[in-house]
Amino acid sequence: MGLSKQQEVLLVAALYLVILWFWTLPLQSNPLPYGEVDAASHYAVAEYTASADRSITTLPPYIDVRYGDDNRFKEHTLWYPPPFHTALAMAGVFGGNIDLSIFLLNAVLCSLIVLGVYFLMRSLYGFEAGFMSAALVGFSMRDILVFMWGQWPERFGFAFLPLILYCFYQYTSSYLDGNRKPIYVYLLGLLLAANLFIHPMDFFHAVAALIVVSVFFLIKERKLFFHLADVCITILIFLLVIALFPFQTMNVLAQATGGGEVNDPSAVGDWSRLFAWYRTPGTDVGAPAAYFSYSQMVAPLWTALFVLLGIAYLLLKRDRKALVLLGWLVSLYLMLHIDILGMGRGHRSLSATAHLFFPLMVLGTLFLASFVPENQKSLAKKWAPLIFGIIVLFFIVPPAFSTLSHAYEGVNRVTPAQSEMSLWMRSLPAENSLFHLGSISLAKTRWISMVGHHYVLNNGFENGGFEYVILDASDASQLGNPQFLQSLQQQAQAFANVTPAYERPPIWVYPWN
Amino acid sequence: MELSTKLTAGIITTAFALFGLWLFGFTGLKLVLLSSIVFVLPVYLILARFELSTSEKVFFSLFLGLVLVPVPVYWLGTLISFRLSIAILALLLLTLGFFMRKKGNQHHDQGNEPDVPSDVEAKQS
Repeated sequence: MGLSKQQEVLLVAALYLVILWFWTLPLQSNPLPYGEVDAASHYAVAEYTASADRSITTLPPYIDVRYGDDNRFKEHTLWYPPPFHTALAMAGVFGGNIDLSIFLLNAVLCSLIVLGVYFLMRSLYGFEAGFMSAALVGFSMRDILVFMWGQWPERFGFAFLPLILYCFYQYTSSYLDGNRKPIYVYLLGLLLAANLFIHPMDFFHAVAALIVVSVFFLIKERKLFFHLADVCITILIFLLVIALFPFQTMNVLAQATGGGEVNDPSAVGDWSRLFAWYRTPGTDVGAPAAYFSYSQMVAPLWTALFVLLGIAYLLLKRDRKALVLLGWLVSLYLMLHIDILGMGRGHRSLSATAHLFFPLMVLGTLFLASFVPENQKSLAKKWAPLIFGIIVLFFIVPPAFSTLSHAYEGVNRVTPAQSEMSLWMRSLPAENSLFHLGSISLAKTRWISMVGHHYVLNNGFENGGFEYVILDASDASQLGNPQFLQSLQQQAQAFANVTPAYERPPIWVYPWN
Repeated sequence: MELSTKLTAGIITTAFALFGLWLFGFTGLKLVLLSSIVFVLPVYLILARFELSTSEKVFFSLFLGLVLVPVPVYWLGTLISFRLSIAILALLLLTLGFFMRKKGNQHHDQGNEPDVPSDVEAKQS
């Protein structure tokens, strides 16, 4: 295309701004927090840090009740290494509006895979391949859904993998070409440590990719592709950095070695799964059926042909660049099937598919362009990815826009009335718990709990263990469900002679003996 | 028209800041500007000491800054005000960054130019 470096950078920045506009749609008309229970937990750690103006060492009671034993190495401490939530808390301080700022920076972090993919593909295959790969990844439905639901660290962590592979490629190429540049392998060590801080699953994905790519390099080059001193220093950098958070690092070890419940028991020992890229779990893993559909989550089914063409292109080339991507592909396949051994959560690894499939599609167009007559090949190789990408965008942008613009509407998100009540809740004694009458979901009650800084239950009323009852008719009245409203009216009889501690109809909070 | 690296960075930062202001008011504006200064700039300046291309420095400083800058902020925030720890660490990291950059410029002025940026190789191939 004959663009200067600065023009390329400006175009990529413009692309990322467009993608950010999409990913911040849920906040543009409604700045209140949203997501499933995972989102509420990440929000809680960041928000508490910003509002209490102190980093968390021991979990506050309302978070500890649910997450106190999630750190298997040391209970009642943070179960994730602090950097991710600290970054969100810092955003809360920067922006002023803590809630909105947390969600805004989170949208940036979760969409950074766009820039990660661009960086790797631009370096390996040029601007057009990088730009189009990035543009397509920005509208990956799986990424968008997982981001909306609340698996935030996992989204951000995947963005590191392309950079890790880039550093590996640069270092090994420099070594093999006799112009060793250890800075790249040192950066790889830092990136791996950062990756572990963000999410251990993403770290294991990165390690798997490095192992597979290394094996491919060994087979191709038939000699070592690194200097032992460089690797030792890298390992030292990695160990020194991860030692900064010993409780959380040891928790990763404890979780990895301690076993535990398998997400999809039907997959264990089912070796026939090896003959498919991925098979829908036989157990309910908490994701809708559409989540496992290629055409609904990645792109129209005909694009799978371009994925195969891209793989064929790489197999035919088999140069170092190709081995990097092939290694990434094989490692992803391995991670998707690790649940056969009773390990990992395969369906979580599925969310990384688009990061590689879209670049493979783009390479598939380059493969087709290579059949064009020689005098037009250069032009074809520049325009093929762009034309293909624009066509695919016509298919994948509308559902992404629809999903994001209608994310958690109405009662599916904390309402202004519930937010106001939750903020009032913060004035109650820290050790008090509440019961949420009128709850429409665990997620909604959890959000009220996390915004209100107090533990809130929504089932087991007869067991007691709470000091206040929230009589919340706001969702019921908005839903217009007569049975729901009638049930709440009957329950309200219990408070006929009780003076509410909080009264902003249709929400009351009553003390409970 | 060729743009200098600084001008390009200025245009991009301004575009993101205006984007934040347009959609989310002063919250968005402050978030963009302060995040750029605290998360990205210190690491970018530190990386200036090393033989990396501009785009490598930008990308690595973005990704590493978002994860590694919060590390000392967290630990200092366990002892003192979180807000104060951000301010102190930002000042320290920026000072370190400018110092490292100055050292890096001196290193280059002595005739030790960095190699051709690796991301030019893809263009040339």
